[in-house]
Amino acid sequence: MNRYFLSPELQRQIWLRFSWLRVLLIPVALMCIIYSHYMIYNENWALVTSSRLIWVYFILVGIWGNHEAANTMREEVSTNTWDMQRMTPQGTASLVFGKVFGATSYVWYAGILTMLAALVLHHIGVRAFYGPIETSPSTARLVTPYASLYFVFFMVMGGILAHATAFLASLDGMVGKVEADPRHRRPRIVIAFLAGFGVSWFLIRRAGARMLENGHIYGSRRMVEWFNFEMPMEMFIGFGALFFTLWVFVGIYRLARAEMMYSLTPICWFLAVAAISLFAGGIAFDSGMVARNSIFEFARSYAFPFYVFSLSLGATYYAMLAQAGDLRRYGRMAEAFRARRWRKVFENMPQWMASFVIVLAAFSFVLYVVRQPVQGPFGFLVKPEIFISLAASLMLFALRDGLAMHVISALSSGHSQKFERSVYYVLVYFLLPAVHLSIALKGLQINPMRFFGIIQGEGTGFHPLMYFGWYYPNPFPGATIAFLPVIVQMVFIGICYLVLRGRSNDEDAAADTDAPQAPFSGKNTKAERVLFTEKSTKGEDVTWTS
Amino acid sequence: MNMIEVKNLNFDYPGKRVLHNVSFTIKAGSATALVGPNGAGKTTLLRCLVALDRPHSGDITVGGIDVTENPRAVHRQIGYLSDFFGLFNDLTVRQCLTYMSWSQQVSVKNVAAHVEKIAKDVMIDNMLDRKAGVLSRGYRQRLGIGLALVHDPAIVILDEPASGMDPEARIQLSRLVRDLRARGKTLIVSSHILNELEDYCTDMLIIRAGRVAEHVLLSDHEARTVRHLRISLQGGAAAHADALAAQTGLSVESIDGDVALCRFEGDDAAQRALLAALAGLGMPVYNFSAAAHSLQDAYMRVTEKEPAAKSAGKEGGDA
Repeated sequence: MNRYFLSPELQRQIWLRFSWLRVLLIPVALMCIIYSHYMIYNENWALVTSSRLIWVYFILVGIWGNHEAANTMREEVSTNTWDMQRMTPQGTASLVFGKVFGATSYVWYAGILTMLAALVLHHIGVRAFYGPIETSPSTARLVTPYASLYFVFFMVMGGILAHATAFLASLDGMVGKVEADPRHRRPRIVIAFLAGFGVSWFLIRRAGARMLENGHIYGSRRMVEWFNFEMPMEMFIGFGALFFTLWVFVGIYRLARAEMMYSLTPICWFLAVAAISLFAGGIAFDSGMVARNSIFEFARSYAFPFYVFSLSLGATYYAMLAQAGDLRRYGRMAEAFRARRWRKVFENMPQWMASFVIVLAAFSFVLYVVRQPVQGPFGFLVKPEIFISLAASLMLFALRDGLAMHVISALSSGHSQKFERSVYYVLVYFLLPAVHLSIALKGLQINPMRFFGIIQGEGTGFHPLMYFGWYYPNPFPGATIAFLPVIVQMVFIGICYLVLRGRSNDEDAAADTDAPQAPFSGKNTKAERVLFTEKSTKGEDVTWTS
Repeated sequence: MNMIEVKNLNFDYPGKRVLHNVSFTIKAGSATALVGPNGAGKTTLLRCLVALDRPHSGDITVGGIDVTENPRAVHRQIGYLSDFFGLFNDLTVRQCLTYMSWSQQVSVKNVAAHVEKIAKDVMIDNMLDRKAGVLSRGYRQRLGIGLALVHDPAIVILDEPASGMDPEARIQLSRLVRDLRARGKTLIVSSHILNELEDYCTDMLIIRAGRVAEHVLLSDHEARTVRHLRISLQGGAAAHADALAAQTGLSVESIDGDVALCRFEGDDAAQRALLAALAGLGMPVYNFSAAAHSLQDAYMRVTEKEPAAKSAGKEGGDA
């Protein structure tokens, strides 16, 4: 045992997952399935078996594989072997490769055999059921190398991208989180599995299986316009899968490097958000999609900047919420800033700040585009200003939630944060709107035409439905309803923070007076308050920081 | 030569600070006992030293390498056994050690032979083909140490290595640690069992409430500071208590029958002079020995000093 196979981690996973019995099990099980179908069905036995084997493949790769990929980090962290691996000098790429493909190695072994069996049986079945290719065009369509290659491609990519997505989501749940007991760091499991499952369902069941069974993904062959490129739907999905696989692996690599204590800057996050936003923005150029969803046709001219804006804002919002739970990064950044260590400032900069630059750029683009009149048959009905209102409102509401999450994190202890965040969302997005609207709407008659007129900028009356603007991003033209409510809320959150911080400072001081002092703590107390004030508990050994 | 230097280290968990301006140095080849009450920040300090956690501020240098700047280079120099260390339970001991040798990129041609050597060093060579998950606590601990030593690190950091071990395993662990020290490794051992640390530690770093309460260099301590003497006097020590107390540097702490336990400030020469003086006075000394110096004594002295320091500080503050 002097050599390992490709990567030490892959070799370890192979030790864990393979035995002679398990290697033999899969071919034997496949033979049983095929033989039983052969005995039960008549001339279409091969097609039926092929179709069922594709389901078996989905269960193996799309369910079991995602389960393995989502759980591999949980096992490492809970058994505390992860720290040991973090301290080894093996390369990040080798470790990541070993984990993603090692955790799913047995699944792949079983899956590939199943997929090949399905493919071969499909070819046998089509010929047996529809007759020779020379005499039957439908036979030719169903067994072309084009369809077969796309089938294999989608089936394999449906596994690789799904497992990598599940692993990325799982890893993202724990990176950067520090617990007194490292075993308490929790990777995401359920969300990771569901993310992988969704990708698998689309690529394996929706794309791969249909390519083999129908010869195309949808009812008929379709073309897609992406920017100025026109290509078949399956090719676009294939490129999309490759594009996202690239970025998912880049994400895993970067997160793994963060775990291995490399210093990272948010440049990669910035590039990923920019690239994915632009990729999705390219779909706005697809005339077929607009034709299929004609209700959006009037907004076609604004679609591209809005797609880029919305996606980059979504990514920024996610990063803001994810990083709000741990404010130490801001403290380190401030510390580095004071010491004029610019590289450290950049390394500790939260990712949302980096991608917010893209949001601002896309917002500027929206402002620029909105100067043009709205195109399309119903364009005259729409005031262009609503796009400015909607974009600005979305951005401000995202910032409001980000601010609230940071304040909650600053004022509460780690254990209650999740609960308090949930309370915030329920309160702000459900309870308060419900109470406010039920009071506002009582005894009032809603006149849709008046509402429409107000949206058009006619009249000065205030419509009850506009109360929604207090709680949700809205496209109402005019700063009073689009921006003012959310700005008021942000100021309110800021005042709440200052009041609560002041109060906990007083409690802290009272506790300091009463509680027995730890040695040396007296003279440095003020200097050591670095970040945010916390409620102090009497008699604790640790000093709560502010 | 200093192997580890820590300057003004601060570390925060979300919402609270657990290490406050911690500063100390550790010499190459020394064996340092890291002691302190539960929750004092020992494990956090060790995790910062081994570059598993990023401190809020401060500088840590290990073997001349800045931990925050180049943590991966530091990992190569350190073998770390965490207090809650994990093992690959479904692999055999041989597979565990082989995997770790590959991961640590051990530069030997024959990994299998290297694995057997490590297993022999940590006295687990008779368990090589057993699964790690079925090993007893003592063997798991040895395997954990073996995994930490597989790349022959210059610094070995063990966090609570003896917890849960039976007496025999503890003796073997103590032997192993002495052997590591003899091989020139710099050791840091965190433990609550002070008696065991006495066997091999040269320094003691006391952490309390996230601060360095004291860094005791035990060898210096023995040479020039306080030592305890056990003086047996025929006919009862109480009769001679005043005469003993009159000697320079000597104060009687307790008397139990013939035996007086005294605190003596002075080096070996002063101790010899004291013996001569007692004999010269015609005192019926039939046994004169230095009471074994213990980490426990040193630790207790530090902890006893603190309330006094605190009350003094409070008085000063009130003034």
